[in-house]
Amino acid sequence: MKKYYIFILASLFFLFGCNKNLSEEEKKALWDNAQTQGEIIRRSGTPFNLATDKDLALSDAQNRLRTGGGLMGEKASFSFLDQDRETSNQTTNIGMPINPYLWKASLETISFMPLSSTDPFAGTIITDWYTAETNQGERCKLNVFINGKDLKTDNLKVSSFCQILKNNQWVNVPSKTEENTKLENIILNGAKKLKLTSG
Amino acid sequence: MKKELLMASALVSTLGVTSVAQAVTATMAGSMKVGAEFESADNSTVDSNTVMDQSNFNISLSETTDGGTTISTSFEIVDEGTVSADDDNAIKLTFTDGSALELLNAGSAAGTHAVAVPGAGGEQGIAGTSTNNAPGDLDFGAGSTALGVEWHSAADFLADGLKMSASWSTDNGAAKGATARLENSWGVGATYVTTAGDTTLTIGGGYGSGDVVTSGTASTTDKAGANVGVSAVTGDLTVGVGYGNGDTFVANNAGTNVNTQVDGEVMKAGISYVTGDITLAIGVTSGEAKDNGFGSAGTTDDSSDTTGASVTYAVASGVSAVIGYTQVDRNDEGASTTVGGSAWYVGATMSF
Repeated sequence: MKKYYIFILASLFFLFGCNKNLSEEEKKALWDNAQTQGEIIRRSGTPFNLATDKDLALSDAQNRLRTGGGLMGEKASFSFLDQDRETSNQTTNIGMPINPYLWKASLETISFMPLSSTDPFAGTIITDWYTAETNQGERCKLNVFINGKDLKTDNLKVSSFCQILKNNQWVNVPSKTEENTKLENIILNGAKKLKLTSG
Repeated sequence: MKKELLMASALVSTLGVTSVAQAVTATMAGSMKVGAEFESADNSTVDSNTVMDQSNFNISLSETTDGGTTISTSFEIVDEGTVSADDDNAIKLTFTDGSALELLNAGSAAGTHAVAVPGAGGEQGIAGTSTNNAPGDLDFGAGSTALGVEWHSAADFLADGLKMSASWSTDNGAAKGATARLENSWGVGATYVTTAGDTTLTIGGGYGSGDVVTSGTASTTDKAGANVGVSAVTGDLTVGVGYGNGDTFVANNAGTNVNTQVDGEVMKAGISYVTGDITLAIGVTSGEAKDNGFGSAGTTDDSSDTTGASVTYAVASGVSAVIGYTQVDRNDEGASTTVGGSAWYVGATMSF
């Protein structure tokens, strides 16, 4: 039993001691090299499933990782129900190098914040500092970047910057990636709804 | 309303009312394998040549709610020579923190975290006897029914580099039959990733267990097994080794209405090396098992030793060509059998 406890302690020491103070990039690099069945499936983009057909899923995943993706791009994402909508999408894109739904949804989502600058051709929206009544010791601003014409996750990037009031001075606090992601999801959903309602 | 919610937690707590968006995103994808296999089985005086066609088509549906949760599912149509099927995959909820929950057709957490040991690519192989039950997969002891769930933690759960999963499934309530089946399974698994110099180390493994039921003679063991593996990636070189041990069963083994309980273990090791567009891989699998009809453990060993190598060339995005070779040696009930042999394969794989 004593050996058992020593083994557990050694394992915990190993577990919590090896990966200290890793940056987000370093953590991502770690997981990009993970070699379990589930991780290989996850990062390959294969639509096939370990639980349903393990051999097929692993074989397809390794082919995608080895060759840099599928015939139609990095992920299995050949969308066939969007074809009709592409027509109207292209029409509304005329004159704008960015997706108009993402642009409009971004502006609507952050409409309560004062804007510092917007550029629809560069796809940038930069807000001024904003402080909520309920939390006057903190202020935040946002940078929203829209990168392309397609309505997809990769074309939207939200960066937030927050400061807290400390000794009568504004002090930067680290940006929270998960909150940026939440904002991106809210904008994306707004954009999707705009696209659906626009016919 | 929005601004209070927005600033409640730095920037975002929940912005907007959670509701499901109005349409799903539908995507289709698939894979095709086409090639020729050449078998030299020990129990045949004639070598056989076979064309291998395996086509699989998948349709996925997904949607993201305003709250950020992605709901997705898919099904696939499988046409792999003698196997034709349509398979339904789990309904998967992926949450904003990266954790996920699979509902129905979910699988076992012990399999999710099994290390993928490098091995030969290609579709070559030598069919064994149906009475040789030596395992070939690390997670052979894990299992689940369709009525189950599997939870996956986010990356860096509890500690940086750690992920965990847990699964559970139950039976459909049908009466026990003569053919044994799995009921009430559970599983846990974990992956830990770290670095040692320029090497990324993956340690993965899991344990799964489930009840085996039949109206006939009962098995003396549950279906239960553990697996553990380590993989090291250094630049273009990947080295992996894994071990699995446990009990499983074969329902209606060899079509003789005999349910067979299997006490097995398997060791796998392999190396792959990428040079430009070419991937070289070599792998060995050594499985052993004692099997017997339900009610008593076997006393003699089945074994299966497989050595394989392959060269894969990445032709274009989604397309690779492969040449593979495999040598198989088997023993059944402690006696050498003539169901081994060698096989090689040349073909192409396409994913779209």
